[in-house]
Amino acid sequence: MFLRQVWTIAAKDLHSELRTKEAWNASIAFSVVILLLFSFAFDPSSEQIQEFSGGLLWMTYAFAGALVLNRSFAREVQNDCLDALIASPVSSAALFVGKALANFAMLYAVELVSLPVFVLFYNVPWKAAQLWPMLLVLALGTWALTVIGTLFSALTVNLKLRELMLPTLVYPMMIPALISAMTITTNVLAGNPAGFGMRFLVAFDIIFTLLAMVFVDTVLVG
Amino acid sequence: MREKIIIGLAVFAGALLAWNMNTIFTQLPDELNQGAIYRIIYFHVPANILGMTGFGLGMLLSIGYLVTKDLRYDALAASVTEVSLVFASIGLATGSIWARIIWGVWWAWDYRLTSWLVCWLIFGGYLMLRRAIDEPNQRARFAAVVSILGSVNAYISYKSIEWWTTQHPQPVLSIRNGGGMAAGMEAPIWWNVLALACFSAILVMVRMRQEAVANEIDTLRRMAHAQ
Amino acid sequence: MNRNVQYMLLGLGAAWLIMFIYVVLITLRERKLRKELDRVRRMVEK
Repeated sequence: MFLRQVWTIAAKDLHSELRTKEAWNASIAFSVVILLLFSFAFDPSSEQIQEFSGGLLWMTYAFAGALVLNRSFAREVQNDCLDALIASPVSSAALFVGKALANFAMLYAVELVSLPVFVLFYNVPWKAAQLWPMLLVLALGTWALTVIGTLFSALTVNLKLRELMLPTLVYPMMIPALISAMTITTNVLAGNPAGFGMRFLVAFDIIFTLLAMVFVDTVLVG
Repeated sequence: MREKIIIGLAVFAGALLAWNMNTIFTQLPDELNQGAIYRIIYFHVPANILGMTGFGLGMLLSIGYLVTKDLRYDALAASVTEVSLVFASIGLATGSIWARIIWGVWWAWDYRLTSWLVCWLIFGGYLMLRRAIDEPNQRARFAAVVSILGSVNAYISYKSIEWWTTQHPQPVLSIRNGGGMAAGMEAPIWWNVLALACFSAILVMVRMRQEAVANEIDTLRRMAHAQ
Repeated sequence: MNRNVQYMLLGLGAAWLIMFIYVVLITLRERKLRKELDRVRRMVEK
């Protein structure tokens, strides 16, 4: 029952997004532009690029992701859709997980599309063995961003200063996950083992997912 | 009665602090490698201990609000968090000044410093969020959620020197099974913790009364508009 | 003076300064609240 509700919500969000492709286009364009701009700021051909390749990538994803996550609950405000959703038999936790999954899918897709751009522009030496660890790191890191972004999207949806409060609250909260993802990515791209960061990221994901599922009801309903 | 408690605490804390400062500055020798600058630890560590404990206490009080829906828990959580944020600021500032001498830089991006800065940002955001919401119950709810999530970061910061090799010194205090400090050097840290804790209790009490006054203003304003 | 000692005093000074600023902010807020309370009380009495 829970899973069916989750699936319905996720499918609804994805359908509505795919129809207009607003956030999708904006996100992809934004991440490519940022990667381009950063390549002007740093010389992509230098060896030092290896050291902050992870950082660059995740900064791009964090900002591009914000475009997707911002809209998550904000798009429900028109026509009282949010009230309808809350009043419906769908539990708040299911609503949250559904939205988070939809956001995750979109963000992950954006990242997969930007990744080859990154590898290309920055001459990142790429070995086939790195693919699976890379996909794993992307997934874990993106899930952390998604969970936090979706929860705070719900929290700030009705606030006066939504555009100010959402980044103020969300970015500091994401930093531990971002840093872990950055270090693991740099390690993976260099061919080193992932290290403690992986365990930390998994623990972070689990803890924040549980916390978010517990508190989304408090945030939406009271 | 309340005034007497505040004055009593202030006198006690002031005397303790003065006595402790005397110990720190006149009786303890300079540290072997660091010289005089190490005495900053007697403010840096107590401030951060109080800050971190305060954030944790704020989390418990927030849970208390969510469970009981009693707004007094929320008022206390806000007061404690605000005072803890001040202590965290002191910790960051004193740490930075110490680092300028010892490490040669004002700041380093190791896990302890970064996670503590993140805490500072999150709980600063907590206070900003409170100012952005007028309705007391909604404000308390949202603030509680932010406080609980933020305290996860406080825990990360606490454990950071164990989980990662950081530029920040490893655990040294006896309660963390650390390497230990020279004889007589650790005790003043704990005396300062006590003195600053008394100060923070005073600040929290003052802040709580301000919350009560603000609530009264709200109630009266609503009455005035209803008439 | 020894640069070391200078920075130590700077550190102590910074700690006390931050505390002092906070106490000032609290006092200002107290005054503002009192004024507002009086104003609203008068409004209700009218």
